[in-house]
Amino acid sequence: MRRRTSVPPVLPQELRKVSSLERGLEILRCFTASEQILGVNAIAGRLSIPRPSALRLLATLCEARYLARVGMSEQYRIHSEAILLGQAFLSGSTLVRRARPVLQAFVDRFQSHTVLCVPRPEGMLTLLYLHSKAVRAKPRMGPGSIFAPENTAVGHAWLWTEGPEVQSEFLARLRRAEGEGGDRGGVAELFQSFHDLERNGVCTVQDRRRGTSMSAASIDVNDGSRAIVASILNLGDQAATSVAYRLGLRDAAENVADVLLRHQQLSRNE
Amino acid sequence: MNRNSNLERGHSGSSRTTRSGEEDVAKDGSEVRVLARGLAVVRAFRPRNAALTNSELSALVGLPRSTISRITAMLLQLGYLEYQIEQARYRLSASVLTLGFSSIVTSYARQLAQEHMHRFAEANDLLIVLAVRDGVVMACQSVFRGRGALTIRMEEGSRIALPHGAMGRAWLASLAPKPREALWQEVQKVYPGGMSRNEFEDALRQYSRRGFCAAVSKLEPDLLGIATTLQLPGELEMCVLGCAVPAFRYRQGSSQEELGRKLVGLRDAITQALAVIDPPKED
Repeated sequence: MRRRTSVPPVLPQELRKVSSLERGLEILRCFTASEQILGVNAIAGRLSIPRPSALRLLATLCEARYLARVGMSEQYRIHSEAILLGQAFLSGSTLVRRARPVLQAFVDRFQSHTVLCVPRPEGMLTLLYLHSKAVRAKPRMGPGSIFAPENTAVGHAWLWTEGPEVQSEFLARLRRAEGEGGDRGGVAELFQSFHDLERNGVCTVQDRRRGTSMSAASIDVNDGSRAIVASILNLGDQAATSVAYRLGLRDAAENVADVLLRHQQLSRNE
Repeated sequence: MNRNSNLERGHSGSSRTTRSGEEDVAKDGSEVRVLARGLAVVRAFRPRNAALTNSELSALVGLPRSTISRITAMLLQLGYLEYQIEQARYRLSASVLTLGFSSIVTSYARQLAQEHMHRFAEANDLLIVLAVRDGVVMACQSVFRGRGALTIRMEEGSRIALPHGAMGRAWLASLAPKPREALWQEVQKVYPGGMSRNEFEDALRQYSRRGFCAAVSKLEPDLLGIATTLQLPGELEMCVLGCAVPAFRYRQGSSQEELGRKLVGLRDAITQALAVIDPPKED
């Protein structure tokens, strides 16, 4: 029997003000791999809230074990509940579970660093990070880390799948940034990526400052959404410019989509 | 302290020191109550992000359905929940990974520990796991396997009841006597008969004498588990390092002892490496 279709719930206008729930979650977002410990004043400053309000929210987050105080100081760090919450999402993610073996095979073949990302308002959010045992892990890269969509292959591959409205808005932002003295060549690089994605299904963007080259391809997740797989090699690595590597990445993306489709069909049949 | 106390009383004791007066107290109460309730709602999706309706959430969290509806609508608007229209159910969205998760799992300490684990799994042809405790289960966070361990059914996200394997026993044994006894009582309630008192005391003896626990899996008797604890810098709770091998390869007590010593050696190597090396700067 077909279930009744429900309309997604919409929050009444009067409740759309900033709530303590939003602020509390904003506090958790302040903690990143590069900022593992934060003081109450820094948190209050970032959220533009009075110190007493910050203290009350922090106390609630500590009581629920999302945060813990560092000794008797006014500094805080992430506690176990935040880890278990992220773990719950990853454990229940079919995309992560099905993509892992496919991407591991790619990583082992080309000895690269590979990430699986999904678009979020704050940037490209990493769900999965794999690296070959022949290379050391990239510092602070892993589930939860975010790539800026500008000037990265992972961002370009995402934008390529978006409609003209989103693309135009992004392009305008990039042009504004160039006009304000930002990274020149960003727009040309984006068009080159679109051209490569159109022709080969893979784009590559070099990061000369970090000495790396990132290639990316888009994955059709079969539920109307897209994920992006991106692989990172050092600029000196010969594989980074090889056709086999780029085709390998495109094939890995297609294989993940196939595996997801088969899983969906099996689930429906059951 | 009862974790859900803010759901009911709506204030946090420690916050009272900064303000006074009835109006302030009332405001404080409602301010933290919304947050406490929201945290309780997201917690209900653990451990595997099951899709839940508002009614199911209401039963799980113990709040009226109307309150739950407001909270889920808010979490949906903020992007932390997804809504499945066909089933009228909610699930956690990928955005929950931005709530501090990366500050721990992408830490240099974890990455370095994982590199050691990866090499250990290959060198010893076994499966190795880094797990954290979640209530009365051990939740596997990182899993590496050597070629001989391809058939062992354990992956990132797997959950093993505390009494059912070596990892839970090592965790129990590492605790101070009072919290250990309290957790043991809790385990007995949730898994009656899961671990006898004799097995519990044997785990304590093993851990204090050798620094690790060895146990044949209660669910898969052809699997032998060996586990020890690992304190990673920057993390408040102890992790457990556990390895699993086909039991037939380690029938002899001496070979179990040897593997246990290797695992403790791995733990010490990770601890030493973290003590002497400065984390690399970001690229």
